[in-house]
Amino acid sequence: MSFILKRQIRTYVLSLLLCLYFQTVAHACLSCGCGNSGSAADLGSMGSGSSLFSGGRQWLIQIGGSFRQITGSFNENGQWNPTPSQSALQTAAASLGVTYFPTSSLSLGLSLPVQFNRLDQASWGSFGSIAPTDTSASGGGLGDLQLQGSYTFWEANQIGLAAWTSLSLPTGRVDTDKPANLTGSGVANLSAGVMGVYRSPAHFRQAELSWQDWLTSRDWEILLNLGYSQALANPPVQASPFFMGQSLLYQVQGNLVLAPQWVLGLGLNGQLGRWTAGPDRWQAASRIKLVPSLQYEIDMNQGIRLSLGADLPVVGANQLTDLAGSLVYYQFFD
Amino acid sequence: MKLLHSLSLLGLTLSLSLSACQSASLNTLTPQPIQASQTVTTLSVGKVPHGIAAAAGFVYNSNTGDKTLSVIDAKQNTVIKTLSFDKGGPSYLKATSDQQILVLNAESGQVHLLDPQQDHQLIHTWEVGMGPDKVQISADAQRAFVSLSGEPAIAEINLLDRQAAVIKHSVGAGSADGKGHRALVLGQQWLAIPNPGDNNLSLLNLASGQSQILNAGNEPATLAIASVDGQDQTLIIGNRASNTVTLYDFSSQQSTVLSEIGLSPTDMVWVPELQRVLITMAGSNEVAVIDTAKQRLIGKVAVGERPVHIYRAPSELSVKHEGHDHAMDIWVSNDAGASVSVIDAQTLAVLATHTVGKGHHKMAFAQNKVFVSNITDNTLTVVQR
Repeated sequence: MSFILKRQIRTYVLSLLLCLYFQTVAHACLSCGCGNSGSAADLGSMGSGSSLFSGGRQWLIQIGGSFRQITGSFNENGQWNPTPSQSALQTAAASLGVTYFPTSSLSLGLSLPVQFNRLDQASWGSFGSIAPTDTSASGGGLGDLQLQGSYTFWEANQIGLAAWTSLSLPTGRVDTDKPANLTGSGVANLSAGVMGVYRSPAHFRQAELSWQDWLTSRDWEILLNLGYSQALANPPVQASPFFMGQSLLYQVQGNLVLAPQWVLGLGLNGQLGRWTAGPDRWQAASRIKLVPSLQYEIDMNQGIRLSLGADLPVVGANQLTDLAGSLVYYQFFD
Repeated sequence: MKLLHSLSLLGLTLSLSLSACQSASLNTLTPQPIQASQTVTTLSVGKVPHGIAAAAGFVYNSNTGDKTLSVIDAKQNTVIKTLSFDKGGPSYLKATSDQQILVLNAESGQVHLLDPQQDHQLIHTWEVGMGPDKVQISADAQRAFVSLSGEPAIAEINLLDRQAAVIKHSVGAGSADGKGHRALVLGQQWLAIPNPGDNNLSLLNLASGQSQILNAGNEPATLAIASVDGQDQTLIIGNRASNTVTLYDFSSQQSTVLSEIGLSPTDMVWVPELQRVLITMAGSNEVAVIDTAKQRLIGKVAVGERPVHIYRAPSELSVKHEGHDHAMDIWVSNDAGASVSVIDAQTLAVLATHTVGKGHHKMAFAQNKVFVSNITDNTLTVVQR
């Protein structure tokens, strides 16, 4: 029991490392499909990641793609406004992620996205704003490289706790003349946090679950996560689509074994932070996402995950909002 | 395909749920039906026309694509001359009170002075600094102040003594790349300029030369000063990223912030007789009208797509018509709508919508006509007022 839970915690932590740090491109990770920084899909599969480590392998490779459609933005007063009519701000990304597990409690990984942007009749501006234009532009390039690590430091019965940290490096582009070329935050960013997992007493091993087991057990799990993200320098304000300010990050995620090999997840992920808005000035930065996900485990070592995300245009400030989707294939091996 | 379909459905749901919020804006005025354009002529000019001004019966147009300046006989609607410069090319243009033309040369860091009375000859050039972007002339017509996008300074030019040294006034930082636009507004006692690199503004007291920093919303971009009886009373600041307007009272040094005014405040014009400022909202296709004395939004006028620049037609060129005087006409360029809208500043009625060329527009007024530059078409549209 303890070993299985440890694996699950490790998996959660991996997902968090790859996903929670969603403010920059460097958060890109395929376990959560967060090839697009700031995308709702960034957090799409944090919870469903708990089922990944059923094989106890040492390596994980993830390959995936994601699509992001900006739907609007919150202004500084918290009023949400849609994108200008007949405009489109879209991003497509592909990512490759590699993770190594030296022990059952420790993980080390990196991920790197490649991103393509299309800005039609509008452009993203500073502080999560949208500016209308009468032009169309497209561009892209490499995103920010992300390094991450985690350690499971406590576990008992169905509960576990782990610490995680992440460092993104500004390998993405910041082209202030051409917003469509923007793929990075322009600064290094450090984040860290603590997460906890509770799962139902029944075994949460989807790939081995029969229909009868499922009908009798209804396995489920819940995740709570709290982290903080801090930029190591002041990013250019033009990079706001790929940087979300210094922020407290929080997440509540639930997963249910819907059917043998199928896991349904639902998450509510939020950010509460601030922008550096000039010398000695700060502005609020916040938003909240609803993230449903569905994962299919092909076998114990590989699977596919679809996640959708939508920023709720209800509460927020100085942030872009989006609809996003990601599809990720993952495989473990020794 | 299913993913895209799902996204579309979700987007539709969100759009529907949010549309109620958007429709709750106050006092949105219904636009008048588009009226047939008055006499319209199209002139071919150089590439990428951007920057236009009128003086002494001529219209000058900067062709930023081929770095030339077209000179147009406003009466005949003909291009009579095309000028070029030794270094760089023309960008922003401004007429002086004695009917000469200031030509900003962003690439060379110079400001040129042309005289229409001397066959449009270049009569002086000032070296002002990196990236001259906008220029304003003092009320006494003696000084011109030039915003510099490439350095944290304003250049002051002496128009009476052209040999006098250019004075630099320190302000905040320009945009990170040193190329972005930088507005400038000049009142009776004060000058204000946004500092894009610092996300604030600098205020310069014209008498003392002292400057101070003012914080407003995010990305303060467009400005106007409301002056009454020769005294600057209110600085009006459009905060483009915040979608707000800040009204800064010079005497009390207090700010009032107006929200729900529309999206992306982009340009504004002050109408002193009415104590109103009209602000283009490029993101919501409307013009917000604010009473600066009462510090409140009066209404929003729906115009064409992506309204950017806004002008008050000069009253000295107006022709009296039965039932309407042009003195309160406000002209709005709709950059994505290939049109210009004419608003009565008093009644806020849309008097006319004229079809023009495509792309970003600027306007100049001469011979009771309006010359509209069409940056995409390489043309000017001439509308008879």
